[in-house]
Amino acid sequence: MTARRILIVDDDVELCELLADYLSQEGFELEAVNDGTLGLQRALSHEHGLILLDVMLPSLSGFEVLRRIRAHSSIPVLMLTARGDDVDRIVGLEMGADDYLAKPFNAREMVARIRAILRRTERRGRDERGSAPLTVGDLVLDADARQVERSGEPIPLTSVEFSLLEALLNAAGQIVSREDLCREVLGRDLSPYDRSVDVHVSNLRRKLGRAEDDTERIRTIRGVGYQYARTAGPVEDDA
Amino acid sequence: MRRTRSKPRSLFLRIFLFFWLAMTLIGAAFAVIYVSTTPPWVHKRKLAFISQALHAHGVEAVRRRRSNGPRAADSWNSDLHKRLGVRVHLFFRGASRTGPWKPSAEIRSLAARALREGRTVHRVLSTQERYAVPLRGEGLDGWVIVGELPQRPRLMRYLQPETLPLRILVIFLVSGLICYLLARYISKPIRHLQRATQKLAKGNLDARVGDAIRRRRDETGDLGRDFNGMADRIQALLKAQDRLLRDISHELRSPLARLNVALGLARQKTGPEAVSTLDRIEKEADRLNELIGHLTTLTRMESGADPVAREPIDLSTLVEDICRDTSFEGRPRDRTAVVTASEPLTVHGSRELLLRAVENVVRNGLQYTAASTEVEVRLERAETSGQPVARITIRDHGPGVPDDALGDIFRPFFRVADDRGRQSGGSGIGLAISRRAVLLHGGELSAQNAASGGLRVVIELPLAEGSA
Repeated sequence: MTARRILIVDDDVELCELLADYLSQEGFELEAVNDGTLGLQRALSHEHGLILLDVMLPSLSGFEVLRRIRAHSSIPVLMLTARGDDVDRIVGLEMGADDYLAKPFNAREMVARIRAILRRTERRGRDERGSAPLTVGDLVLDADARQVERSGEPIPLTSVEFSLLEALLNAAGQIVSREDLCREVLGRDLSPYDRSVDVHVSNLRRKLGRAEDDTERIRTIRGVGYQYARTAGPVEDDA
Repeated sequence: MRRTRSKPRSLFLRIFLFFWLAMTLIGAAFAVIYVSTTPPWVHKRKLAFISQALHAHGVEAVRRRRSNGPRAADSWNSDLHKRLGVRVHLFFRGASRTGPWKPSAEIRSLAARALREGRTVHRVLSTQERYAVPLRGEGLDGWVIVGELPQRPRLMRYLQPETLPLRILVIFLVSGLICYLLARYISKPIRHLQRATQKLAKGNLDARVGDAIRRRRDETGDLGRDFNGMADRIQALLKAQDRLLRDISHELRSPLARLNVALGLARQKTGPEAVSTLDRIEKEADRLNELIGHLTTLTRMESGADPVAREPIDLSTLVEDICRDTSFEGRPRDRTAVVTASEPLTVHGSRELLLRAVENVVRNGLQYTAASTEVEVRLERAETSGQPVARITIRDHGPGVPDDALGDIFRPFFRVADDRGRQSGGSGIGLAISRRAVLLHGGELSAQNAASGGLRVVIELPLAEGSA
C-alpha cells in the first residue's frame, strides 16, 4: 500500500510540482518536502516506498538526511546528485543510498530507476510460496524475509546490498560480471563511469566482514566482475 | 610606503656605494703599485750635496783618527748618528778603519766599488740609501767613507716591492669577493623572482615571492610586492572565471531539470504526432545535460576541491575497457578503436579520472577519424627526463589539427576554425577534462600531427614504484 507512495526531498518547489504531475501519470503518488529537517521526519514515517533525496538541501544536507535515515531504516533511497559531481555520487552510495540519478535527469530514466528499485523490494511480497533459505558457509540468506544472518546473527543490509549478495550467493564460486550485476541489481546497463556496483560491493564487504579463514568473501576479478568465494567446507547445497 | 629608515635603501645607492668602494680599492692598489715600482732615482744635486757632506765628515774623521786615535773618530761618527741618524763607515784600501758598527758585506763591496771607480757610488734600496764617497786631498788617498741614510718611513717599509705579487693577489681576491657579493646581492632576489614567475606561468597560481624579497625596502622589494599583487589579481580573475563557469552550470541545472520533467509531461499528454519533435527536444536536452555534467566535472577538477584517489590502476585493462566500450558506440559509424600495443603497467590515481582522460581522447579520435579506419591506442613503458612513465599514444586517421592550434585543443570550448565535426556531438570540453585529469596525476599530455596524417595525442603518467 505504501509502495506506490514516493517522498521527494528537494528545495526546487517547481520541479517537485512538475514531478508530482509526471509521476502521477506513471501511477505513483508523490509527496514533496522542500527542506532537510522536515524531509528526515517524513522519511522516517514509514508511509513511503521510496525516497528521492537531493544532495543540496537547505537546513540539513542530503548526506546528513541519508545518514540519519540509515540509522533507523533501510528504506530505498535514490539520491539526486549534481551531474558531473562524481564525489557526491560515490559518497552517497557509500553512505547507503540504493542508487543515484544525475540531475538534470531524463524523466523517463527516473521512472525506470524507481521501477527497478521498487521491483526489487516488492518481490518479497509477491514470492508468497517461499523458498528455502540459501546457505553458503556461515551466511544464511532468507529471500522471503530479506534477511541475512552470519553465524545466526542478523546483518542489516539495504535492499541493493541484499540483492547484490543474493545475486552473488546464487552463483557462489562463479564469477558474476559487473554488467550482469548492474542489470540484475540496479536494473540498468552499466555505463562507462559508473562505479555504483563497486561501491555497493565494498559496502557489502565491510558489513559482512572477512570469511572464517580471514580471506575476502567477495573477490574482485579484475576487468571482469566479482565472485563470492566458497569456503572449502562441507556446508553447501544442503537444500 | 615604508620609507622611513635612514639606512641606504635604494638599490641604486647600494650599487653605487659598492662600486665606489671597489673603485677606491682598485685605485689604491694602483697607487701602491706605482710607488713601489718607481725605479730608485736620486737627484744629481742631492747626490752632490750628500757626497760633499759625507766627504767633509770623512776628512774630519780621518784627521781626528790621526791626531787622537781611532776612538776619537768613532765618537765623531756616533755623534753624527745621534744627531742625524746617519751611520758612517770609514775604509782604507778596502779595510774597515772605524766603528762603532761592523759593516756588512754589501757596504764593503760598495766601498770597494767607490775606490775602484774613484767617484761617488750609491745604492737606493726600499729600506735604505747608501752612499760611498772616496776621499780626496793630501794624504787621503785610499780612504772611502760610506754613509747609510736613515731608513724610509714605516709606510715605505711596508710597501716593499719584494712582496708586491702577494699584495696584488690580495687586492685581487678582496675585490673579487666584494664584486661577488655585489653580484649575488643583485642577482639573488631576481632569481627568486624569476622562479616565482616561472611557477606562476606553469599554472601554479599560488606562486608568490617570499618574505626575503617582500621585506626589502629597495626596488627589488617593490618589484616583489608588485609581482605578488599581480599574481593575486591573476588568481582572483581566474578564480572568478572558474566560479562563473561553475555558477552558470549550477544555475542552468535547475531550469534544465524542470525542462526535462516538463518534456516528460508533454510526452504523456500528447499524441503520436508530436513524438518526433519531442524526441528531438529530448536529444537536445540530453546534450545540454551532458554539457553541464562535463562543465561541473571540469570546474571541480580545476578548483582542486577533490583530492585525487591513490588507488593502483592497471592501465592495460583500462585501455582495453575503453577501446571495447567506445568501439561499441563507434561501430554503427564504421569506426573503431583498437589497442595496438599493451603491457601491464600500474599507476596510482583515480580510475575514474584516468578513464575519463583517456576515453575523452579516444572518443575525440573516433569523432574525427575517417570512415573504415581505426583509432590506434598504444600503451608502453617509456622514460621522460629519467623518470619511468607509462606512455599512452592515441592516434586517429582524420584530418589532424593545424599546427598552430595544437596547443589550444585542450582548452575548454576550443574549436578548430573549419571544424565540421560539431554536428557529430561532443561538448567541447572533453579534452580539457583529459588535460586536467592527466595534470592532476602528475602526468603530461601533448598533441602532434602524425607524419602520415591524423592527430596523435600522447599521455604520459608517472609509473607507480615497483611497477613492472
